[in-house]
Amino acid sequence: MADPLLEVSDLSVRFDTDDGLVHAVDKMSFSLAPGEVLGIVGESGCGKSVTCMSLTRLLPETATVTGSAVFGGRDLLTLAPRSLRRVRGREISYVFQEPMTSLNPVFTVGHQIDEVLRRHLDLSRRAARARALELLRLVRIPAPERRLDEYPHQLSGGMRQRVMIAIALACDPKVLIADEPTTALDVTIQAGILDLMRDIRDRLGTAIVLITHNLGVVADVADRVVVMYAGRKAEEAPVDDLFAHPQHPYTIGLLGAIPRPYEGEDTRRRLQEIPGRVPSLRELPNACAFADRCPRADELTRSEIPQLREVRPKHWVACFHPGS
Amino acid sequence: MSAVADPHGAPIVDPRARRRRLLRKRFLRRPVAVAGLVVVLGFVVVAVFAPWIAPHTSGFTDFDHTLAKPGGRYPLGTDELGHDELSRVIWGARSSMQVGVLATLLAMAIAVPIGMVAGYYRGWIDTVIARATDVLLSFPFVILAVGLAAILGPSLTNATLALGIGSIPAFIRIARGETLALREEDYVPAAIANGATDRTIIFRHILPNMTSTLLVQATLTIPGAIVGEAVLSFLGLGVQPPQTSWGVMLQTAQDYLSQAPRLAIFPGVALVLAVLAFNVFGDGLRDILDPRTTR
Repeated sequence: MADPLLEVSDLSVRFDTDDGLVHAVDKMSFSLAPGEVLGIVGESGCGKSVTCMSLTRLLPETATVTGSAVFGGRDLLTLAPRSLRRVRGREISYVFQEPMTSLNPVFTVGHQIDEVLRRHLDLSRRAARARALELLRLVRIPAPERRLDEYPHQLSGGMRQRVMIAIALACDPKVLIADEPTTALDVTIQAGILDLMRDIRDRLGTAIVLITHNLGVVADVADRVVVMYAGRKAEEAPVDDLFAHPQHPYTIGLLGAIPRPYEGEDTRRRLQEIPGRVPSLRELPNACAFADRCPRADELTRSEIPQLREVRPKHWVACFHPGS
Repeated sequence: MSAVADPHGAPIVDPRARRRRLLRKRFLRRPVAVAGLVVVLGFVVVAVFAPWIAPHTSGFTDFDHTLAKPGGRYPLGTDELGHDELSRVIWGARSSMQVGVLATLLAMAIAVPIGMVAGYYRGWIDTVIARATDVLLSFPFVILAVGLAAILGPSLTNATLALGIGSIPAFIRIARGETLALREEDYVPAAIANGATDRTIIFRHILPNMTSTLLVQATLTIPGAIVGEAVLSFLGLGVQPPQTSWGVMLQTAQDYLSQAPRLAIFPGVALVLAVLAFNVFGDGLRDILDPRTTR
């Protein structure tokens, strides 16, 4: 693998809430190669978004972030605010889940793309407008000339998400972090957005971190997958290997929960849910976080935290009893 | 960065010109607001050109024709000192507009940044500003303004200052409240993620989203200050002779209500008309500036 673009090591995030400390992320490590699509999968509240928000320090002040996130030879977690602002939106951009509200309602689409261009690239008004038009074409918005002068409320959800992607791509970032980019959209529109993501990677070589709770989305787009559970990495593998040989019982559970209407002889197969709920992140017992929901749990599972092991080439799992 | 020229040859139209056209079209569809604007503009023109429009100066007196009936040389008659009533209403408009607009601008210029800083940063700075505002808001506006004017001394400038300062707490509260709500909008973290500074977020993302609210408050504050000026002048804390204002005229008219009620009616009508016009104009403005308005 080429030198990683982004190297996250031992990233931990704690939130100091009124009810005490919450360990949202516990010693996460992962790396991202140039042009790679990394999927981060897990249930709501497993720390996927917090992990990615902490990279450019977008979390509220109640969060304490430790560890390191080295990008271009600098640790983002200790970078001065001024330098950090030059990274945000220029080298690392985000696309959030809520396309309906992430655009400022009082400005035209063109104005909002221009703003980022002029902030980071110091373009003239005309040049920024031409570039904005080019970006709208890149994200395949119909009638881009007209859209430039329209307000967000005049666009559909899918088009707004395309505009958000255009803004994120405005300065040709090295990393695009897409946090559930398709969750709020219709299924048919989701496919279009995922298609666009793939296209962006192929044409621009942008590395993408795709956060989702949907393994189907990951199978479609990602090269490599990190499965998170309760703030820790449960499994990490190239996408094909993960689907062919899932090792962690949690991953297996997630795969069992994907609806597959046209597969096999029994089309009425019941979806398998994972029993129980995500544990509270308040106390971190000295045990596997998945123990209470795991069919393979035993004494060892309940008395020690499993460490990551490479069980197949490039396939890491944190489980005492791995195997498909 | 790629070429400036658009490869598809699409015409590059100035989006602001389009927006202005759209706003004008929407505004013209609201006859009451248009009427309000016409009256407001009328008062503004009268106020600005008072020296050329008014037949006499505000200090002019004709002792041979005191309390003259309307008509002839004095279209609206004269008061007990032989002041030309028409000229006095015109000069009064000048005082009223000046005080109304300047006091409101003063209040906004001071209060909006304070309120936005409080709402954006929260924490102790917000607590201090919000509590201080609450204390000031516990005084009725007129009492506050009268107190300030009494301290500053009677003059048009001081009346403006007093009314402007008196309007600050209401603007702080509105700017703070709007900022508290708007900073939670999803486009704020989106802007931060794109590298925006606090200043950019406050002034370029949050402020434009509260313009309609501020406009509504301004359209309430301008007529409030106009009335306030009349009150201060009525109490002798406003403009001093030979300058005049509607408040001064109302005050002198008191003594002649039974003989010459017109002395109270003319400035009174002018006052009501100006206040009403500002209000309906402001309402129309709020409607058309709301980006969700479609007609």
